[in-house]
Amino acid sequence: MFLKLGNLTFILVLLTSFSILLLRNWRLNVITLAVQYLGIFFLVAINWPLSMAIIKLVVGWMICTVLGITRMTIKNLDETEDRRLLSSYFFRGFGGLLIILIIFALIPQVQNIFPPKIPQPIIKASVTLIGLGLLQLGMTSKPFYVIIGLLTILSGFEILHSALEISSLLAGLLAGVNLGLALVGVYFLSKENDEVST
Amino acid sequence: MSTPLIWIALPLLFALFLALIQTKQVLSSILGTLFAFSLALLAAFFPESLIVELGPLTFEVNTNLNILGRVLLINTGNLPFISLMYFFTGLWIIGSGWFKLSNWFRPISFSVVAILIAALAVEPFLYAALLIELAVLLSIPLLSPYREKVSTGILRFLIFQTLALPLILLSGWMLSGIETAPSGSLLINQATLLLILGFAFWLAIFPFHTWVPMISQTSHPWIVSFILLILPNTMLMFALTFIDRYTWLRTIPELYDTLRLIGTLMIVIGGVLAAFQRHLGRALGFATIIETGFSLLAIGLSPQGGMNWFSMLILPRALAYWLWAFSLSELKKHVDDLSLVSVSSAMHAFPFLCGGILLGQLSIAGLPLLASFPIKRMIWFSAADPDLLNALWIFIGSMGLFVFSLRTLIHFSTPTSEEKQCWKFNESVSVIIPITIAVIAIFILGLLPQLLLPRLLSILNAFEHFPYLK
Repeated sequence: MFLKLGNLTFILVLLTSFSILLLRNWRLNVITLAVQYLGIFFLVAINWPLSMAIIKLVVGWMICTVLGITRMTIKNLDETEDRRLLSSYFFRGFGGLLIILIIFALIPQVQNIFPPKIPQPIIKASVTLIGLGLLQLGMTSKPFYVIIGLLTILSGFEILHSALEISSLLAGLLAGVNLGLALVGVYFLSKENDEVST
Repeated sequence: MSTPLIWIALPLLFALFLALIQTKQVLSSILGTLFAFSLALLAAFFPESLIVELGPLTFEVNTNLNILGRVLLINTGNLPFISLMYFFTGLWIIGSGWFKLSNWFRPISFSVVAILIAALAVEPFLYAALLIELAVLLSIPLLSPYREKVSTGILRFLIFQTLALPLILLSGWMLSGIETAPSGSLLINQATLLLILGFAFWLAIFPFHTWVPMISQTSHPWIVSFILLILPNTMLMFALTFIDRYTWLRTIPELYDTLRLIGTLMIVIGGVLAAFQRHLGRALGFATIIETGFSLLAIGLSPQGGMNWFSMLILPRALAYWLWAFSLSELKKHVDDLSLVSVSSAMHAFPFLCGGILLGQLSIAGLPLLASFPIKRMIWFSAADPDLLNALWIFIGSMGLFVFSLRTLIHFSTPTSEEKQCWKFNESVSVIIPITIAVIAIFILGLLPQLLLPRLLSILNAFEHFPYLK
């Protein structure tokens, strides 16, 4: 079933990762990230047993909850500098589209590197997440968005790796790394909160 | 009882205990130091037969610990490096008692070291990348304390270290499938490329080195020196594990040339940039880049015996970092910031601190009589053997740190006002004693290297298949 939904899930992941890159509203970003984790779960479930694939969803939503709740407690953090400028939207959107175009052009070459048994939606979604995540990292120096960018890149890698290897220890350690990154994000956010309040 | 239980699980539990008593700084410093040195001693003198006799009791210690279908494996070959790691942890925990550091330094430093040892012990060893990432994440609160702004350096550190993770894991998957592939095949080239890129991110190889001077400027020198000692050395050991495991990798003809080139590049870039620095903390960062370069160069010189120098460099490096970071951290208490302008004339007021900083720098630079000199001399001569130009570049890189030391000396001794400066000893005895001990240790290692350094060769016992090991 998950394989049949592969292309649809890829489109979902493409839209969410592009939205994360484009939008600079933390509420929308967290919600979009949560939807993205749903897509990631669907893609991972193509190769992994459901009981293991669900780890990605649970961990992903835990991350979104932790980041969302922490960000909610920060009242005065200035986010306007990125949001108000139309040109910044245009720049990020243009950059994102460019990356998506490059990714589509490169997919056949990337496919050659990996075993042919890996379904194409997995490779496409993986490369898209990695590409747009990298672009996100290059376009921001705000800790919150940096963490989201890193989580996006790791998600892309996890989708690909799920098609290559099934291991409960690996799944556990990757979950630990993802949660660790989210906690570092929370730490950064609370530091910023402290700065704002003092 | 098993070795991973002793050197991984027990320290992690102890870190938990230290976290519970973190507010009692003196107690946690004393206990942490004693425990770290005990683990170091135990690893150094553990019987090779793994049979421990305690009076009438005799028991055999296993080398394996099974977790979720995977194995943590520490055999006697790994113990010398583990011993060094805990020795360094002890040294840094002792020193932490002098400074106003985060209460979490002791528990986190123990956890980081235990996790890094787990990274070297895990089988399949490619999972190490995940454990190293966990160690990196744990070190973030230390490098970026709560009351300080999130710096660009910390973000870059996090980004680069995290980006290495997928690259190493992916290359690991590729490597597992190509053990029998002929060298030069496409898959091998791809795996090698991913591997090189992954390690470039991890080891802050040019152009991914920018975070090193940034965090060494903004974070506390004591913490930076510890992290920049422990992390790169573990990663280098991990890199050597790769070369040791895969025949095709160690038989790539260009491997050692490439390592020599990268090492030289790091020495030159680190040295030249260090020469122009205006901040003592940033210079420490560049010194760590130079040291990573020397390690890579030594590995690249394996056919000429470079692996011996790689292992023997670790202790002199640690001592120099310790002295430099200790003196710098003490000086930081008395000056506004660590820029050269701010420390003008400091030598008249704090001669021991300034002397410690200068000796630490010069030891890393390879000044004769100091700890690194005997090893670096060998590296310089060996590098000149295959390529004289290579040695010239290394000389230029090494001179960079000498130039910076000279500039530091000039700033330290330049009076700020026209009044005649009188020499005073403003340091307390509790500061002078550790500096003096470190200086003596550095001189002993420099004058009598044969006493201790050859023992470090046992670190190489961990690599059973590595070529050129005698």
